[in-house]
Amino acid sequence: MIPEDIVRFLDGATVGFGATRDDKLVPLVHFIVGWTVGDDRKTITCLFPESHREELVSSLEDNGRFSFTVLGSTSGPRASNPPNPAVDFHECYQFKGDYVASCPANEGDLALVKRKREQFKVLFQPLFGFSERACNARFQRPVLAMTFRVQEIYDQTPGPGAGARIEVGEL
Amino acid sequence: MATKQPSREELGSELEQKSAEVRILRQVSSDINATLDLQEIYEIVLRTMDELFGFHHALILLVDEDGENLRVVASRGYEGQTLGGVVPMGTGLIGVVAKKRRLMRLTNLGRQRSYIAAIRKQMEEAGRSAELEEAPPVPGLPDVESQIGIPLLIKDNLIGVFSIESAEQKMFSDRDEILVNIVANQAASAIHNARLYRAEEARRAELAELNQTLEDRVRARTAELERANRVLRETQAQLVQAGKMASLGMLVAGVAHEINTPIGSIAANTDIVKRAAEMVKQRIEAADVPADLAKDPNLLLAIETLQQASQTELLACLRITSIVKSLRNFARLDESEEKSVNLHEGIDSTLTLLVHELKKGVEIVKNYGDLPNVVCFPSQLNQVFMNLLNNAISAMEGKGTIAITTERDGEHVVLRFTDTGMGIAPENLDRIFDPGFTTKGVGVGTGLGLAICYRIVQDHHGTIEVRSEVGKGTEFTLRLPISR
Amino acid sequence: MAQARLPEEIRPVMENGIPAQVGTCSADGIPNATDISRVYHVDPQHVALSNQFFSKTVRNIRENPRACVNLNDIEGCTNWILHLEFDHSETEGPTFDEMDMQIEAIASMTGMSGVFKLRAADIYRVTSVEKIEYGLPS
Repeated sequence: MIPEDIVRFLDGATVGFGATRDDKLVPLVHFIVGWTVGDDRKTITCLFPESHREELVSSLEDNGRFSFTVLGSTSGPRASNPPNPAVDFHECYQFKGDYVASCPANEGDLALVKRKREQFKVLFQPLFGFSERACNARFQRPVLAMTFRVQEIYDQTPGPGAGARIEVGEL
Repeated sequence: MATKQPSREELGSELEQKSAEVRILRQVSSDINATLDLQEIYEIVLRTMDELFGFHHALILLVDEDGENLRVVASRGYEGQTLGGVVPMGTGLIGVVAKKRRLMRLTNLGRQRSYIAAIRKQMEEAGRSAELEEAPPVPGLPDVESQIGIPLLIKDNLIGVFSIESAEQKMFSDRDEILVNIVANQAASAIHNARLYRAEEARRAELAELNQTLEDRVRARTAELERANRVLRETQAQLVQAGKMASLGMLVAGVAHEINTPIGSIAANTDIVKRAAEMVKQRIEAADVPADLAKDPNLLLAIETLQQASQTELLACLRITSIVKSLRNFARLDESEEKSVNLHEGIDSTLTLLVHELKKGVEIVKNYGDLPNVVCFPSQLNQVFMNLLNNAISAMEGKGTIAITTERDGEHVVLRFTDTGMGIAPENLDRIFDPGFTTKGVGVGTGLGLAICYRIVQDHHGTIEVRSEVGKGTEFTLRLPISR
Repeated sequence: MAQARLPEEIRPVMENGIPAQVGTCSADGIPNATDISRVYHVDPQHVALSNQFFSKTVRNIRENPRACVNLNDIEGCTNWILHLEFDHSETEGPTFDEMDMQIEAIASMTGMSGVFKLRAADIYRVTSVEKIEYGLPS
């Protein structure tokens, strides 16, 4: 199962992106605008904007491999106390797993995306000089919700220790 | 991907902007090259950056003599202290630009600082703090976002770095980089020339000072040499005099010994003759001899003559003995160390030796006070008396009066030698104790006598003064401590 | 071999200090997505990624030379997707020197001289460039 502190991290995280690969092993990076952890804490559902939706679905249906990287949280296990957004922003985890299912995004998903957007604005907009328009543009309307089963979790926080696998027992 | 073509207006605006930049650069070049003053050059460069290009924070740093650090020599737009601030080679943008001697432009440094801070935190949590260092304090904006650093090069030699900074999250454009580079290159040449000029001026000043110092030293050395020469001559004169006195002493000792023996013999025999004559006279008066013999006038005259001649001879012997004694007293070779002596004896001995000169018409008037014995080198003081008395006799041309007065004054004795000679002209009074000064003709006197007297009196911690009036006479006053 | 040219307008995006995302894939087909602090512009047909830590990204590239980079233009509200192919690694030369100089400057001003050191400059050929313009969400 995904550890509780990582679940809390995911709940507070505001920046996410994923990677797929096609049948020729050509990778593609995808912007992800929202996410939730499954009740069983073994799956994650990611929300995607329109851009490259077809390639995403095609790759997932071809091989099912998916990688999800997420950062921009002040509620992770490594968060500073008191919170230091400039530093905490870079705490980062990568989840690797296999595609389970996908469906069109709904109103609940849109609400989640808006919440993520507001979280991002409060914590990180002044830090990185994003304009209001840029913040809004980051968090596009979701069109697709894709669920994958998490097989491995990695600590991707930048530094010499980046890439270390987090042992979580059976997922 | 097709790029949009600029409109006529945009092209026109760009052309105008570039023309303005060229004008500014031309003006800057002209202003910079018109001065050899470093501060003016810095001011021109920084003002150009600020007022004409809108770069409000700029630093000019020059390489320290040790080549290990760069030092801020001029700045604009910074509050607080930046002048004199130091950046070690290889530290930060400025230090790395200096080390690599290449232009560098960095942007969005705030975001990079945030990224680095996250890595630092991760390392600290992983127990790897030992690998981290403290961020070094360097002059510049603490919240710098964008920076351009340009090496100031003269051929391949690095003389410094020029840096412009901004706290805004904008980038300096390629165009900005080109403009700043042009100005920095001009500044490098101007700074180099100004420093050469300043070094040259410093060298000139140093040379002038050295020349002046040399002149002063030559002057001082010359004065020193003159003084040394004077001392040498005095010492020589003293040595000569001492040598003379030593020779005199030896001569006196020898002569005294040779004279004393026959004088003693003459005195003894003369005394015998005198007594024998007295005996003959007594026998004649006692009527032991024939009457015609007792009354023989020639016999009586012969006896009386014998008696008188013997008396005269005895007096002459005494006189000779006295002279020898005076001579010995004057030389006092056996007394070369300090002694407590009666100065009157010394004066008298000297007078005795001068009796021949005094006979010609010089009257001596002595007013001796009640003097205690004085601790001194007797032979040296006798030289002084000899010199003063000789000079007095000379000044009177053999006729006149020499008054010698002595008295006690507390812990000192005062001796005055006053003559009625021709006197000393006022313009010469200050110089009479100078070695070599003489009023006598060339080859007549050495001009050292009074200089030696002065020296001897000084060595005795005493003083010698002179008063004189032309046509009336001269008075020398010696003042000597009773004990030293 | 596919080849694309980087437009001039992408250069400021590459220097805006916002981390980019790079996707790679291992030889056995597992994709990997990670943040990188900077993508360096070499020339209109090449970019460089700094190789400071021997990461999964570098391992994947050695097995499978294809990479995908997402650049975030926060001023223009656009994203740029670049498809790249690893060309070669440099430990000297103008590109390496340029990157090394910048990393050294930042490392020395943040007390990270002992940690941040450029091992190599990995040079990639640009095979495609795509600009994604986002409208405002409804």
